[in-house]
Amino acid sequence: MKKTIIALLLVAAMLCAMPAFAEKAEGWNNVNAEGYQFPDYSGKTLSLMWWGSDTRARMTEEVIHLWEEKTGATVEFEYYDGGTYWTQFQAKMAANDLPDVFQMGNNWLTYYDTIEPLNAWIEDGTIDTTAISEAMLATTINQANGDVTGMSNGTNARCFAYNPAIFDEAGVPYPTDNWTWDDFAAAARKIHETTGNPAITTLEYNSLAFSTVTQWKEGYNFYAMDGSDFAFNGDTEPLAYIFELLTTLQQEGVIADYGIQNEIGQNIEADWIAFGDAAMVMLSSNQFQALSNVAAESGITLELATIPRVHADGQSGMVVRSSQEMSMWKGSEDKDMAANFLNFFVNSIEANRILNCERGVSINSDVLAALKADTELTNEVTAKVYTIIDLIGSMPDAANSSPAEPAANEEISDVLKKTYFQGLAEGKFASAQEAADKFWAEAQEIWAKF
Amino acid sequence: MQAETQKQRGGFLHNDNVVGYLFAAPFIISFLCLTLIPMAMSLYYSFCNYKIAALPEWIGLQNYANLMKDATFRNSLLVTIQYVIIGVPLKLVFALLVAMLLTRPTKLQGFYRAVYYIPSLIGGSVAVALVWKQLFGSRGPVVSLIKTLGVPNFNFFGSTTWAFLPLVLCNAWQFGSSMLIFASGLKQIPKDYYEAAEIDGAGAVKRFFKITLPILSPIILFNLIMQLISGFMTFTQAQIITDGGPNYATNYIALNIFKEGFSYQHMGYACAQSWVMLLIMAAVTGIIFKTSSHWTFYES
Repeated sequence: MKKTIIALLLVAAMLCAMPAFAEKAEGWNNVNAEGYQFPDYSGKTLSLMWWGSDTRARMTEEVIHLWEEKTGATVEFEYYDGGTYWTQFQAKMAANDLPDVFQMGNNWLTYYDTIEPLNAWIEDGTIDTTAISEAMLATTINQANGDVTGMSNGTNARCFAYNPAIFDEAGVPYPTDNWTWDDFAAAARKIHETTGNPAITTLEYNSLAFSTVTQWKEGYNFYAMDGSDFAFNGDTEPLAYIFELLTTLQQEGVIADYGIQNEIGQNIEADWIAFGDAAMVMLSSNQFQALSNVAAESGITLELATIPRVHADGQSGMVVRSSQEMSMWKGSEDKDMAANFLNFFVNSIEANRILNCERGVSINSDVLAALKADTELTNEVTAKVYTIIDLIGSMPDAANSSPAEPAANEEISDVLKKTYFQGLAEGKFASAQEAADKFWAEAQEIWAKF
Repeated sequence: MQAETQKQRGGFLHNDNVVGYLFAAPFIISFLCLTLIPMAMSLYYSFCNYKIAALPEWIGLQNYANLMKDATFRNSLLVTIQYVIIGVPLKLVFALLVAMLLTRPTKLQGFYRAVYYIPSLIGGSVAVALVWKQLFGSRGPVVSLIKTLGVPNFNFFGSTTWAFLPLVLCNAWQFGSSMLIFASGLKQIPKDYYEAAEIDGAGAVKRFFKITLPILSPIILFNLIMQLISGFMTFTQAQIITDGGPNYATNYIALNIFKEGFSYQHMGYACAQSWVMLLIMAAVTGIIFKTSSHWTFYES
């Protein structure tokens, strides 16, 4: 009897000690592994929210259904265009009712309180990072404290798309890899003369102003890389330069007026270039796929180019960054399920064959290799995106890191566009230099409020 | 005996006051939760440095002091007043005109009234704003027409001078509720007045100014106040169609408050703006009430 009890106790002790022995092997949650068993989430619900085009919505829904099939979970999802998304996000944030998983931009510093860092799930392997390089993972890490703010949906870079047919018609050369703002102005003027339409209908004024600062001189930047302060030294000459250039072109009708730009808004598929009316558009490289799909309906083939620079042999001012990430809500009730969804969304080859880098070039090397090897998925359009990302990534000044946008950036950027760019166009400043100086003064005032 | 216990048991519910409060409860509860408490909170926040999901920090009158030197806020007030001054009379004139047309007895009167009321039913919705954005957009029919009339490069939403016009028109188009109130007022005017005036040789214009307008004046007052208040609160169209632009030309105060609070994360500052807006609206309404005795006419 005594022996039996001792034996039972020993068994019990062994059972208790089991978890210590059963430490999971690295890569245990690799969704691409043969015979991978998806967790069973029957009867559970995951909520999800993202922004983007119709093309993105179609693809994401398909991936959602795939995950629902595999795990038995139900996914409640909603999506908006880029502008409306943040309004919705803030309303939900105020109501403390965000979805379990949401798309987040490089402005994560503004919404930091809502985000659950993913470090725990990455460390225990639930989110498998064996095929993701340190550098790629770093694009969504808060450099100040090491928190992983989300899983990057891929990398992108701001660039230009153009319609070569219109360039041919106007008899102007195509953009080169180091074309300058002067080249841009000359080409755009000639195109406007030929077609009678604005040559370009979408420009991101704030990021152009900031990248002009970077291009101006080596070592120049507007914000510090970790988003903790300005890096700007108060030399407003580059700002005056870009104010003057873009405003003059707009007054000539070469760049669309603010009404047209606002009508298009964040809906890249509505840009005039998609219908053969404008020759160029400024966009994020991952938007190229959606834009090309619409343009193809009108028989238009588009190409990608770099952002013009100030000096042909100077800084590019361009950067490869995390295009956007999927973050977990701090208030989520089933964080393990959310982590498993993230793992699937970022790492599954099957899922990413559907998503096909539309959100950005995948950070998972296995996924990227599988996509590139498939001639059906890597068509002409996606190949152009891979090429431009490789090109920008290889530029000497393009660090592959994620400049965190400071919380004040939203207001500073809005004021930059509406008070200074638009005010200059309305003649509210005597000169571009005056606008630039006043902007810098106001930017500092805004910063002080945060 | 039995009847007495029943009376005791049901006594509470048979009290007239209790029944009254019970029926009013849905309103009282929603008024407290959705109006009074949020208003009190916003008053408190207006004295705080506060952003959503963080704790408010008391800063006294700082927000109000900052408002005084905020050029964007001043501009918002100006464009909102411009919107109200142009938009409200336009809407009322339009509503009165249609109401008068619709008081003519025809078989289809009810149908017409319903049709003209529909735009108000769909109200300040996003869908309407999107339709107007297309209609008056750079490639919409209205701009195309203006261009063929010889104004090249014209674009409502690209011009700080003209961007407000489609917004004002969109608001005027939703004249249904004012129209219905005018129509019911017109019906109350006794026919004999018109007949008597006609016999005395008064023309249609004279009849309108000497009979219709004076008798209708209390109703005009009511409509005016209602529309003024809704005019000051205009938001949806400006947000959807112009995003306040260009260069803040349509950055109406409600939109400015929204941006400060939600986009820029200065919720306390936004609350202070709301209170200033409330005071201005109250003052304008007060002035109109005070002066109304000079221009409204009550038969009794």
